[in-house]
Amino acid sequence: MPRTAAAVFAVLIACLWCSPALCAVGRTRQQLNYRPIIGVLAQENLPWDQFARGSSYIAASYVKYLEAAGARVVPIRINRTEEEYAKIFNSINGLLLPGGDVDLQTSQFSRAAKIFYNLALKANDAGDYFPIWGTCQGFQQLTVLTANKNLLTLTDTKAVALPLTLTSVAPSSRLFRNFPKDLLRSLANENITANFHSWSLSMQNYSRNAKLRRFYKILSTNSDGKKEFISTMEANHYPFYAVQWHPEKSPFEWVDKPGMVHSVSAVRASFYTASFFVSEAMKNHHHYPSPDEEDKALIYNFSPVYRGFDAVFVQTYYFD
Amino acid sequence: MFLLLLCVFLSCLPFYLSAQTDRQNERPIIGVLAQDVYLPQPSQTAYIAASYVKFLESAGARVVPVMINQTLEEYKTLFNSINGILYPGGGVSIVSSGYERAAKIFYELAIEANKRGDYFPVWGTCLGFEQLMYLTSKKTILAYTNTSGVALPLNFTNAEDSRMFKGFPAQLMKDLASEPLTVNSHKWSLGMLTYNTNEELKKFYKVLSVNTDGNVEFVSTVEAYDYPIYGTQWHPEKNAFEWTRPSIPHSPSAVKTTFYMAEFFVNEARKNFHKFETEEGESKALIYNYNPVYTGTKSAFEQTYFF
Repeated sequence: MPRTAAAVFAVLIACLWCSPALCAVGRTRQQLNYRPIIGVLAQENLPWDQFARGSSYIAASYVKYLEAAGARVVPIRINRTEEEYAKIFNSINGLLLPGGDVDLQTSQFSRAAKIFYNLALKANDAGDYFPIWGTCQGFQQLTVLTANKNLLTLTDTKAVALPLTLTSVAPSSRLFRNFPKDLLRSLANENITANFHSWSLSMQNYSRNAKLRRFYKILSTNSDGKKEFISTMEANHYPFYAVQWHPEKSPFEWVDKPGMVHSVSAVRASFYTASFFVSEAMKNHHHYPSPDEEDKALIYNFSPVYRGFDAVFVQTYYFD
Repeated sequence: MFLLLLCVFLSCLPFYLSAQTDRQNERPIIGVLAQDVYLPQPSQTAYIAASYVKFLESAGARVVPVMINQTLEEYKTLFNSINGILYPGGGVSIVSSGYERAAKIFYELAIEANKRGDYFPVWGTCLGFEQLMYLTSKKTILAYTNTSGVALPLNFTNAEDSRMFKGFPAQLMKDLASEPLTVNSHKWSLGMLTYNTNEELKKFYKVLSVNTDGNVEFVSTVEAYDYPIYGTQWHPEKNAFEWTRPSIPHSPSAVKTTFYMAEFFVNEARKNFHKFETEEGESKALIYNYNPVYTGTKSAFEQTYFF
C-alpha cells in the first residue's frame, strides 16, 4: 500500500515538476513525426568572405549534419518580418542556430533568433513541443537570449580539440542518456570535440546569473588552462540544447588545421548528437500548409558554392 | 627450402600488416560510379543519385564521381588516388554498359591490389550488388522477384560475427531482424537456389542475410570471404536521404541503419592509403565541383547529379 502511494506521489511530483511540453511528450509517445523538417538560421555574410554573394549564408556542414540524422532542412533567411517568421515556425519541427561570427545582440541573425526563441518558449508552454539546438555561436546566442545580456568572456580556445569533462548529471541527461556507453567514454577521454571560439560562458558567470542557472543544466565543462567554461548544456524545462563545440565539422569539413578531428568516434559523436536533436524534432507535428509550399522551402532548391576543400567551410549556401 | 618458406612468409606480410595495422587514413575519399542516363541530353549523359554521396559523406568520407567511358589509364590513375569505390543502384545493363565496363575495371584492379596487400574495398548496392555477382560468376543468373517497393526486415544468416555487422549495436541488429528497415526497390534478385548451385559465388561470397517475396528466397546481404567486397540487394542510403516514396522507413532505427552501414564501409576505406598526386588534382576530382539538381518533385531521387 505505501509503495503504491509513493509511486502515485512520485508521478504527481514528476508531472508538476516537468514542463507541460515535456509531460505532453510522455503521453503522446507513440505519435512521432517521421518526416521532420528543421530550420537552420542564416546569418549576415562576413565582410572578409571573398566568395560571398547576396546578403547571408549557411555553411553546408550544418545542413549535412541534420540530413545525415534523418531530417530535411529549410534555410531561414534574415531580414524577414515577424509574421513571416511565425509562419515558418508553424511549418517546421525544430530550429538550429549555427556557429559564426555575428553580433549576438545587434545582428539580423540575433533578431531572428530572438523571435524564434520567444515563439518556442510560448509553444512549449502550450504543450507544442518545439526543440532548439545551438552550436558554438548558437550556444552563445541562447545564453544571451536567456540572460537578456551578454555574459561571455574570452578563452584561449581558438582552434583545439578537447575531450569533454562530463558532469555527474550528464549520463542521465536527455541529450546523452541514449548514447552508446563507449561513445560517452570516447567523448570524455579523447580529443574529439572541435573548439573554434574565442568567447565562452564561464562557470563563474553562469553560476552568478540566476536566469542562466535556473534555465540550463550543465552537461559538460572544459578549461583553457585558466578558466572553466560550459561546453554542453540542456534547458531544464524546455527542449533546448547547446554545444560550444562543433560536432558537424568532423564528418563534413576538411580544412587542415589544429582542432579538426576526423576519427571514428568524432564522426559517431556528430551522428549521435544530430540524431538526438532530430528525434526531439520528431515530437513536433507542425507541417507546411501544402506540399507545394514545403517543396519550395526546402534547401534542395539551393546550390552551395564550393570554396575549395581546404576552405574553412568546404561548401557554403548564400542567400540574397 | 628454408629460403622458399622465408619468401612465402615475407610476401604474406604486407597483406597481414595492412589489414591489421592501427594506422588509419582519416581523410578517406571514395569513388561513386556514375551510369548512363536513359534518355541522354547534352551535358546530361550520366548521373549519380545524391543519396549515395550523402551516405558516404555522413560517415566521414569525401566523394569523387567516377565517370563512365573513361580510358583504362584514367581509371587506373583514379584507382590509385581513391580509397574505395561504391557501385550504386540503377537500371542499366550489368552485362554491357558504361557502368559495367568501369565496374569491371575497378573490380579487377581491386582484386589485384588486395592480393598484393593494398587493401581496397568495394561496395555494391542493388544494381551494384547484381553487378558484383555478374563480375564474380561471369553469368547472369537473376530471378524475378516481386520486390519493387517494399521495406523488409533481414533474415540474418551467420551475420553476428561478420565483418560487416559485428560492430553494430545489439539493439540495431534486433531491429533489423524484426522491423521493415531495408528498402527493396528491385525486380531481379539472386535466388538462394542459384547461389547454392554456383561454385564461384559460393566460394567467393558469404551470405549474411536472405529475404523472400513469398515465392523466391533471395540473397540480400553478402561479404566476400577473402576480399573487402560487400553488397546489399537493398538500399541502406535511402532511409536517411530519400523522401519521395512512402515505402521508405524513417524511424530512428531506420536512420541508424543508414549510418552504421555507411560507417562500416567508410571505415574499410580508412585502411587504404592511396592519395591524389597533387592537391589540385584532388580538389578538381571531388564531387563538390558539381551541384545536384532538385528532382524530388518528379523522380524517385530528391537530388540527382548529372554529368
